Formats: sequence, structure tokens, C-alpha cells
Amino acid sequence: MNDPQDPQKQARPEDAEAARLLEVGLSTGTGRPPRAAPSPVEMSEHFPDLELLEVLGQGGMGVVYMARQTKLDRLVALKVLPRELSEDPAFAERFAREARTLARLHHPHIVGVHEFGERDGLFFLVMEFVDGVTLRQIMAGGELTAREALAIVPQICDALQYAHDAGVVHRDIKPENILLDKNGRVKVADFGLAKLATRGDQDFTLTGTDQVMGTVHYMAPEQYKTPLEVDHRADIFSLGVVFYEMLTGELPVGKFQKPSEASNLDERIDEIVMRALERERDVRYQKAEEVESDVKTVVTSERAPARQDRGLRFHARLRRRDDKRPFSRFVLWSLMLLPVGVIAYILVYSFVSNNAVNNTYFYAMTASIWAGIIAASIAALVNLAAAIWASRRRSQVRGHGVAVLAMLVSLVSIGMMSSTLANLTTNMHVREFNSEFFKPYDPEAGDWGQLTVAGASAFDERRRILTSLNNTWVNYLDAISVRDPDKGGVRFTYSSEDRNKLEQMDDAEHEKLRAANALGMGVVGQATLPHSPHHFTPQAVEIDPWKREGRVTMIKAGERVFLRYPIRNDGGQWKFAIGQVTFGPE
Amino acid sequence: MSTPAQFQATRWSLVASAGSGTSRSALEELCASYWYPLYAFLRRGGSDAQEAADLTQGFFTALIEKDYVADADRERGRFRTFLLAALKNFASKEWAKNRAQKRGGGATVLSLDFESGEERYAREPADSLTPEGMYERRWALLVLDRTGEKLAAWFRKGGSDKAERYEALRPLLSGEGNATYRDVGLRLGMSETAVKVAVHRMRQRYREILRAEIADTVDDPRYVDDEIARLMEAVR
Repeated sequence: MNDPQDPQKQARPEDAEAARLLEVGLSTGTGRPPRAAPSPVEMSEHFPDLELLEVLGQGGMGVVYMARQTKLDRLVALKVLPRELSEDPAFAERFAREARTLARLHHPHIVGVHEFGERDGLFFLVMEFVDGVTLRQIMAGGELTAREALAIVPQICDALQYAHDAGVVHRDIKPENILLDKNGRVKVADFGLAKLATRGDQDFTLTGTDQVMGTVHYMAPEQYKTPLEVDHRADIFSLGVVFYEMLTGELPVGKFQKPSEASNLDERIDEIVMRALERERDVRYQKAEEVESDVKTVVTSERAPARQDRGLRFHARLRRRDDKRPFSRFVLWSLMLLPVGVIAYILVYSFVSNNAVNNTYFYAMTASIWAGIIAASIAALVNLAAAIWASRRRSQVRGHGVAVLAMLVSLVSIGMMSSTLANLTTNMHVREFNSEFFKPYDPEAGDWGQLTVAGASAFDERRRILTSLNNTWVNYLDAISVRDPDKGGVRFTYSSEDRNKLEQMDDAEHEKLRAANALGMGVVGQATLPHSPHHFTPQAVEIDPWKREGRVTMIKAGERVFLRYPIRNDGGQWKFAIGQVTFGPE
Repeated sequence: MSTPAQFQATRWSLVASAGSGTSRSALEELCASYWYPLYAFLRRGGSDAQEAADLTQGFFTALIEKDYVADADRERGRFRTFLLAALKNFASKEWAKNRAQKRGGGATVLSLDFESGEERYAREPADSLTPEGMYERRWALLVLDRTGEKLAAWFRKGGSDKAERYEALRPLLSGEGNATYRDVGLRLGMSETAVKVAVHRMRQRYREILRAEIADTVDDPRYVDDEIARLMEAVR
């Protein structure tokens, strides 16, 4: 098929006129070709008291400049209406009347009018400068969350209600006229300006009806059917269109879906939007504040828990196509937590395994593995909950916050697990140790606690090597005082400064230790059991652990001492046990 | 023709939603108004005058009598596009099948003045416009003609003064052409400013009529601007 706009087509004057006549019919048309906005420099000759900085925007209702009021040194928005409007002699009067009304609107969510007037045939308004963006820009820029939409709508309602109470109908509510400043505060612009572009209501003789103005998609049906009868409820319809568009990204034209079908939303929002969009204005919301309170009710109750069908909703949400984000977030955070879990596990494991011996060792191993698993599961669950919670809110920011919280909870739980485990291990053994291998402090005997071999039936000999938990006896105990129970007073103090002596352990003795260790956990080379000084008795400064006689009395009042010692079971194999002993008071 | 302020649903939306008692008369009215672009389309497509007239008449009969609107595979949104698509469909299928009977003199439901139509077609410029291009262009001009007539009628209703005024102001409506506010002012004994104001008002009235006219051919008045844009394409 040929292109109807074949280059061979002859130019027909008839067509040029037809195009121009059609243009007259456009709702925004003035019947004249649009002109480029005069530059700030061109325009500034008319406004000597303003420093015009840049063009902020241009539309059917003129050009908006960003300007500085030099005297007051404040930024303002200067709106210069199309020159064509002044062709209408009644315009000046109407403009003054409307602008006076607008200037009286003082509301935190309405762009204020500072000044208005006429200069050299140009009608202008000096308005509050809003440093921000239009709702249109936000919607074009990406996803506006339902949560944000639900925060924006009540503010618009608030502005509308205030204006409606003052008898002002906006008539042109659309995303372009809704500004958001840097704090996210809504400012509705161009109140009642749409009316200025229409005929005055006193002059029906030639026009019959008001000229239809406004942006068609946002207009209430009565605005193009019976423009003369438009009241504040037209704004509520337009608000409904904006609301719908915010939620779904689409305009409610034709047979449109309910918002909850198009997006993942509470069904009660549907009711609000649909009621605002009622074509019959008597069925519509009658006041903007009703919309506001209904939206707020939904928002508040959404925060509160407990809905009967929560389980169902939960599953529905999990399956919902457009809800992939919470899961990716879940996976992401889980992955990020994985190294944390692994590190925690290694720490717990190494701590426990270093100190765990014999059956304790087994417990410790198992317990540390479980600790890791449980901690990771808690982290994962908390994360999932956070993700779902965030998706209900459709808010990323909070989602991340909760995930961070989840991570903290996970870490704390890992920590608690570890410390519980450590306590469990040592305490468990203390009992065993005490009952079997240690005599607690016996005031009658004047013993400060005795380590004997008497009850060591499990051990074939009284051989034992005492080391601290991490194999460095001296490091662990700051000082060991050996007292003579008979005479009282400190007999001997072994402090960490003496550690160097350990290094000088003679080879033969060292070798014995190695042998002992090797028999046990195979930690050959770790044995740092020092030479003689660690075998104490009140009677003898040195006791050779490999000999049968002697006893060791260690005194460090009120402190728990962790001991690790090699044991040999009935089978003659060496193992290690861990224990803790508390010595009596000094 | 109702005044723009009173229409509740567009004519085409009445037809497209079908089933309503008023839909048949609304459809007849629409067809009687907009038959010529179809005729021009057929003629430009190679039909002779007789065949184009028969096809148009047969098509309208099928459309109105046989509830073609409800059955046809179509784009409901716009009467303009629907009509052309339906005609093409009709011409390729039903017409071929029923040609013999129809030509013999099937019942006609609309009385259309094909003679004047042919006269008019004879005056169409012989350019390279495709049948579709012809259809679109004729449609756009027809909409404007009807709007212009209604505007004139509206002025005439206001008395001979108004009618005279209309004649004088009419050339200024589009802003094309050579007429100036000054000249017209001199002719009417009005100041230049007064002429400007009068033209401004006339444009507004024209806009209302035009929008109402176009609204009748789309199923939702919100599409008026869009339809205007498409018609502008057609005459460019």
C-alpha cells in the first residue's frame, strides 16, 4: 500500500486550512501554532524587579520561569500567561478576580501566589518556588511504590479540601500540577488557572458553554459534558485518575482493570479509587477529606497485623509474579550472611575443639555444628520475614533496614550459641573433674584443694599433665601461688614472667610430653608443658608428673582454672579431657 | 443535532455498545453523514460509479439491517476506522457472494444521493493519493464541512446581522488566507480589537462544535484530541 503522504502529493491550500481548523478544535489549542517560550533574557525586560534565571516549563497556560526577587532575595516561580488570552477584553477582570482568590489560599500543600498583575499586556503570577519535581517526572522516572502513592494522595486531598472550602475548584488536577519538594512534601500548583482560560460565566450570549479546557484524560465526565455545572467533585474524579495512574502506571480509560488487578494491592484501595472515578458525580466521593480519611484508614490498618486470610495472602504473595524482589533480597542477604555463618562456625569450632577432649570433644563438635546451622536458620527466617514484611509495604528502604536487623539478630544468636556451648562444655566437665580427680578445698585438712590420683581408676597411673586451655599454662593464669598449708603464706608464685623458663624445658622431658600428646590427640609439638615448676606441692617445689608420688596444690582463690590433661583409658589409649576447677578462697 | 452540552453518550458509543433501541437510528444517522468518504474510497480503488454506489448501499444495508456492527471483527474505538475496515471486509466477502441479488435491487435502508456524490468525486484532484489516503482526507474535510455548516447555521439563527458578521469573520477563522482584522473591521464598522474578540469567540464556538462532531464518531469523548491529531495527519 502506498504511503498516503506520498511525496508526489500536491500541496493543497484547502488542506492547510483544514489542518489549521482542526487545530482550533484541540482542547489545548488556541488556533495558533505554538511559539517557543521567550527566553529569560527576552522576558526580563518586562520584569525589572526579577532576575529571571531559567525556563522551568511551558504549557497551555503559559511559561514558567525560575526567578529571583532581587529585593527580597528569594526564589520565585514566575508564570506568564499566553499573550493570546489578553485578546479577550474580559480577561483582565477575570484574571484579577481569580488571582485574588488564589492569593488568598494559604496552605502547606498549595503552591502559594505572592503577586499577580499585568505588564505590557502580559498577565503574570509570581508564585512560591518549589524546589522539587512534578509527580509526572517521578512517575516517568521509575516505579512509584504504592506506599508512596498512599502517602501522596492524602496530601493532595488536604490541599483540595482546603481550596474547596474556600470555594476554589482546581479543574486541572494532573501529575504535571502536583509537585513534590525535596522533603517529599506535596504542593499542588495552578489552582483554578484552568478556569482562567475559559469563558467568563457571565457571557453566554455567543459561546453558550464554557470552552472545554484541561487535560482530557484527567477530566471528569461532566467537565466535557456540562462544563457550566462543574463543581469541586470534578477535582475528586481527576484525583482518582491520578491515584489510579500512580498505582498502576496506566490511565483508567476504556474497560480498565481494578488497581489491585493491575498491581499488588489491598482491595480496599480499589474501592477508594473506583469511588473517586465514578462517572456520576453524585455517586462519587463528595468531599476530598473523605478520600483522605479512607486512604489513611487503609494505611493505618495495613500496619496493624491480623487478617483472617493472612496465610492465603502470604502464599499468594509468594507466588505473585511481580513480587520477585523480596526473594532476590532474601537470597542476597542469605548469601551475604553465609560467610558470617561460616566464620562464626569456624570460631566456635576452633575454640571448642582446641579445648574439647575426649567425649567432650565430640559434644563440642556436634554442638558447634548445630550452633552454626541454627544460627543460619534463624538468620534465614528473619530475613524471609523481613522480605515479606518489606514487600507488604512495597518499600525497599525498610526492607533493607529489617535485613540489617536480621543480620544483627543472627550474629547475636551465633554469639549466644557459642558462649552457651563453651560454658556447657566446661561446666559439664567440672563436675566430673571435681568429683573424680580433685578434692575440693578442705578446711579441716588445711588443704587448698588437692589434685590427687586416688580416684583415677580410669587412669592407669597418676600421670597427668596439666596445661591451660590453650596449652599455655602461664599465659592463662596470671600467677599461681603455691601456699604451704602448714605454715601459711605464699610459698611460691609462678607468674607469666616466668614463661621464658618454659622454653628452656630440657629435651628429655620435652620428649616425654611429646610422647604423651602424640598418644592423645596427635597434637605433637603443641605441648608446651613447662618443666618442673608447674608441679607444685607445699612440700616439694617440683614434682615430676611421670612419677607416682607427690601432690599438687594450686591456689588461685576464687578463680576458675581450666585444665587440660591427658588421660589414658582402659584400652591404654591416650585421650584428652577438659575440666575446670574452682579453688577455695585464699 | 443536539447541542454539545447535552450529549450524554456519543453516537458511536451508542452504536458500538449495541443492543440499545436508539443504536439503529444513531447508526443510520452516522452513515447518512459519513458515506461520501467510503464512496470516494471505492471509486479511488477502481470501482466505477455504479459499482461504488451499489457497494456503498449494500454495505450500509448489511451494516444496519444485519447488525453487522455486533458481529464484525472491528476496531470499535473509532467510527472512522471501523467503517473502512468493515467495508473492506464486506467488499471482499459478502459482496462477492451476494452480488447478483444485490445488483438486482436489494432493499435499501438509506437514501443516499450518489449522483451528487459522483459529481463531487469528479472534482477530486487527480493526484497520487491511495484509496485509504483519499478516505482519510475526505473524512477530515467532511468533518470540517459539517462543523462549518453548523457554525453558520448557529450564526444564522441569531438573525441577519449575525449571519452577515459570520460571512465577514469566517475567513479569519483559520488564520490562513489574506484577510486581516483591519479590513474586516472596516467592512463591519468595528474596531480591530472588537474584531479580534469576535474571532476569538467564533473560534471557541467552532471548537465546541467540532469537538462535539468528532465526539460522535468515537466511543469515548476523551479520544477527541487523539482523533483530531489523526485527522490532521490525513490532511498534511
